[in-house]
Amino acid sequence: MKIKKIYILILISVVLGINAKAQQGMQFYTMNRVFQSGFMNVAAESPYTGHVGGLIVPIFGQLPPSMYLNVTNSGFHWNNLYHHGTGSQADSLVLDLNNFMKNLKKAKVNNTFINTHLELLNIGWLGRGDIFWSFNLTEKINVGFSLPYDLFELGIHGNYDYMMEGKPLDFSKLDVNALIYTELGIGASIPVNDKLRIGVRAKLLWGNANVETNIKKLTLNTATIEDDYRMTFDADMNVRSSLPILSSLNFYGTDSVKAEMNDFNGEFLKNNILKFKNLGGAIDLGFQYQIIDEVKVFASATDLGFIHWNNNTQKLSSKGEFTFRGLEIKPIDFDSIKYKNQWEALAKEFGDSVLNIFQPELQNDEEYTTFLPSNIYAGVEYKIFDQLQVGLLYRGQFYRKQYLQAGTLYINAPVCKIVSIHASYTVANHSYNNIGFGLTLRLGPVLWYSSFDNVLGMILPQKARMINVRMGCNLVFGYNDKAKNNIPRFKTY
Amino acid sequence: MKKIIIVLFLFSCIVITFTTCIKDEFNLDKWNREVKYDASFAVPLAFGDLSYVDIDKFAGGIDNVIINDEGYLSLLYKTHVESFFADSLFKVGVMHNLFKIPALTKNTDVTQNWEIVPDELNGSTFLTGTKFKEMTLKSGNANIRIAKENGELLSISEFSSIHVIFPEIKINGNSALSFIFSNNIEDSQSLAGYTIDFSTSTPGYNKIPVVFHVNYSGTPPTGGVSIDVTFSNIEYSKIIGNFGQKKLMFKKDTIDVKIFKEEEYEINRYYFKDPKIKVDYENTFGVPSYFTFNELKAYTHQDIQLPLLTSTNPSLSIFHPDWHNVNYSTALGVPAKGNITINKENSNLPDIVSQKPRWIKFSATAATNNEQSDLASLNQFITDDSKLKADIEMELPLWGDMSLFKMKDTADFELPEYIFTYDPVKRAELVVKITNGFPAEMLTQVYFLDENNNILDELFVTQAEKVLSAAPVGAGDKVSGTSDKITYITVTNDKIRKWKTVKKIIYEVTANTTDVNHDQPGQLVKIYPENRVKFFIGLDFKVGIEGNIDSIQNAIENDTISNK
Repeated sequence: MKIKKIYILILISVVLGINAKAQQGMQFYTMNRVFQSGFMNVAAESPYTGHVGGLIVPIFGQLPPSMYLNVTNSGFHWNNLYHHGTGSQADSLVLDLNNFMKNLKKAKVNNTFINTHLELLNIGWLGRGDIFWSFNLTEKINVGFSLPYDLFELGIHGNYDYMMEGKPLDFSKLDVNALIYTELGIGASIPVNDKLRIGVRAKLLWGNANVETNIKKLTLNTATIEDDYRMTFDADMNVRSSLPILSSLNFYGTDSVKAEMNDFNGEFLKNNILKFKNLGGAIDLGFQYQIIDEVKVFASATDLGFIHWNNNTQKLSSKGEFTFRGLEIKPIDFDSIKYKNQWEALAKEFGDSVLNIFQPELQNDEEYTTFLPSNIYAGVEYKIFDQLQVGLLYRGQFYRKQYLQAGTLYINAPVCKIVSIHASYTVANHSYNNIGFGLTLRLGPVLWYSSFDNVLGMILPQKARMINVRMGCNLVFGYNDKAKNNIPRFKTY
Repeated sequence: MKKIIIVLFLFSCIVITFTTCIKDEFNLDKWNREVKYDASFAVPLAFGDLSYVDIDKFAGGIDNVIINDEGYLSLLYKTHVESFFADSLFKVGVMHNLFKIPALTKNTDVTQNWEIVPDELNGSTFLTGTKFKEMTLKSGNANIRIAKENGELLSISEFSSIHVIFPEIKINGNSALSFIFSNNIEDSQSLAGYTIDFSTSTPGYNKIPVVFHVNYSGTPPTGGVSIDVTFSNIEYSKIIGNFGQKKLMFKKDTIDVKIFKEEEYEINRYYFKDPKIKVDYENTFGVPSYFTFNELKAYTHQDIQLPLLTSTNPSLSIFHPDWHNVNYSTALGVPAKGNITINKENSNLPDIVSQKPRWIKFSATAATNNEQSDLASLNQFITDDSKLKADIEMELPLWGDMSLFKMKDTADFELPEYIFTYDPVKRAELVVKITNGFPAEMLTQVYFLDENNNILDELFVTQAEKVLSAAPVGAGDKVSGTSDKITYITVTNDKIRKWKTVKKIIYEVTANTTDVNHDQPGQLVKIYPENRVKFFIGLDFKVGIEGNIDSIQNAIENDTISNK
């Protein structure tokens, strides 16, 4: 027992030491009475033999509606920018740019994510061979944008310090990514033996809209006086999108863009939605293994898949290097220069030059493929007694070019058949004050659930870098805490 | 129950208090409006790379600056003149003759020679004595009218036909011009494309043989006939022969030497070591030709005539009354080219140039043949578009010196609108880097003026800031290095305040060539295309905003209003 505790402490240390940035659903992962926790580990078994939920389920689907919302800002929270002062300023908010920049510098990149999943329909049932089948139809909206620290550095501190240090301002981590798609999944949680259970879910995806930037290089270097303060911009970037609502997009020279939108009508539906373009696929995998009666380990991978975008796609590319040396003047030609507007001339020349160099090239109807932000989870759970388990959960997410991590220490308390209480502590987003809370309450066939990864964030949003809420209502049938058809099952609590 | 009410009350108080606290955190009305912002920037403002192409303003345009044969620069001012076309100088116009045939003999040829003579009344402008050996016509009309010798009308019935043949007027080399009169007494034909060969007659020029032949039956008519032949509206494409001494007129013209446009600058003294006037000509006359300047006079910008340009060397026989032999074409379609150079070796041109000759006015004449020409030769030729054309250029090679060249100019100037009384710039330093590769030192100043032209400030304070040293000059009067300088100018708030009311700037430059002697030519310099002045102006500044944002906004708004 002592050794186990040491292992647990080591694991906690490892997890807390992670430069964590991930965002969602850590608390919810462990709430196995809720069918939707299987979205994160398809091998998870349910204590019920049947579930129905989702927005299209009359009455119960809206009490409350099954939904998931995550808002994360990795670089800073509100109080890093505005906070109450001290002394005579205690009642006032003060703008604290130094503190803001200090936090941003630590984060290097400020990632902002807004994710919401609208669960249209979820069905789960226990089938032959103790295989738990699941079906889901979900609309997923994931929006993220990243602003590199150097962008704020330029605006708030200027370019002088970087110039003296001889390093360029690097905006390469600038990123925008919006992904909206519909997911149809069919999964199965399959008992292999009395210790091991595996799961797999196949998902068919319809892409609704996508915008993503791909910035390989975007830097601004200011040379020292020896090289005449030359400002060199270096860019290699593109923006890809599939926006069925966009009818046409055209560039006219360097200063005019014309975009036309489709009318959202029957014709639009016929030409876009019903043609089932932008198809993709993904799978979720998972397992859980009961080492001993008190300890189980589990791991899963979700959203291993892609969407191939081929409906009304656009690609905007720009590549080039531009050195700005100031306004070229010829002193002898004094009367040919409109000095009254010299500043405007300087700005115009600068703007024109940059636009000419980075003249974006627009390509329409070029198909492309995006990969989903995939997740891996791994954890271990220790049963102290039937009504109390503790566990550790690690999560990694492959988001664009970044690998985002989070670690959670959790407690599950399946108090009785009606109520289960869950709590967690998560390290994520350079944030160490994420206390999670979850609750399930079953009255008859109606199971309400809610989960918050950051309860303090709900209470003190000014100090929160993330708000993560999942709630809903399912109809559940057949509480099943015993083996069925003599097939060994995991103990559920 | 009482406990429950108390608990609920306390809970409600906590919730309300808590909610109020959260609201306060996001209530920007509670912001104390204080801002503190410090940022430092370094930006390039302007740069320049001044080379010979940028002296075009003084030269009068970049076309006036060339790289000469020796590789350094020259200023070049030129004009183009040309004589009139040959077909306006040597007109033939009309050829006419009345032939008399006293008696007609049946079926017998009667040949007569028709001599061509000038007919000034009908537009002929070729000289008496001009010898035509061959003439090719591009247009013209031949008209023949037949009458009885005594002038009475000739009755057609009296004979069958009469033929008038010009055996040496041929088209395509073999078909002779001929007329046949049978039922008519007058006829016309086009002469376009015919060539008249005068050489078969005696003495071999100016005469055309004409053959008359009569066919008739019965008794011939009594008395002779007269045959009136007129070639009118003659335009030739080529004439071979000898054209005598004929003057080819040129229009008067002027060379504008824009460098001496004095409004742009002042100068104490200058010296061009090797000025030149070149006449490049092209002659398509196949005739010995001669050229002379009737007059070649220089005038200052104030229109004061300078001494006449004269020859100091007998080899330069180009000023009236001397004539200069020019090359002439020896084969059709192959123009002859040549040039005449007036320079310090053969003229007083350097003296003229040293007196700022703004205008060079001239008139010229060319002539064909002179007393020495072989007037018996019949191998001279002209075509209708023969011309003597000439480019007359004044070249001022940039090899010399210059003392106290002063130039100043005025330009509008206003600081950007966003620099107001509220001054967020806490530190600003202009950096001016200059690399001078010109063999000239410069003393520069920029004056800042208000709308009433009062000087409010000067950009450079110390003499060291104003002076830019000349590039050193080595062997062959060529620049051997550069002169480099970096000047840091601290732009204080006091200066910015002054500049806010500035409406104009005056830019003033005084320049001397390297090691110039202000009294007489000494160290000379040559300016090469690679000589240039590179400069860069950068700004390093710190913006500091600290205080109440509302007060700052008010200050800016007040400034905006007052500025408007």
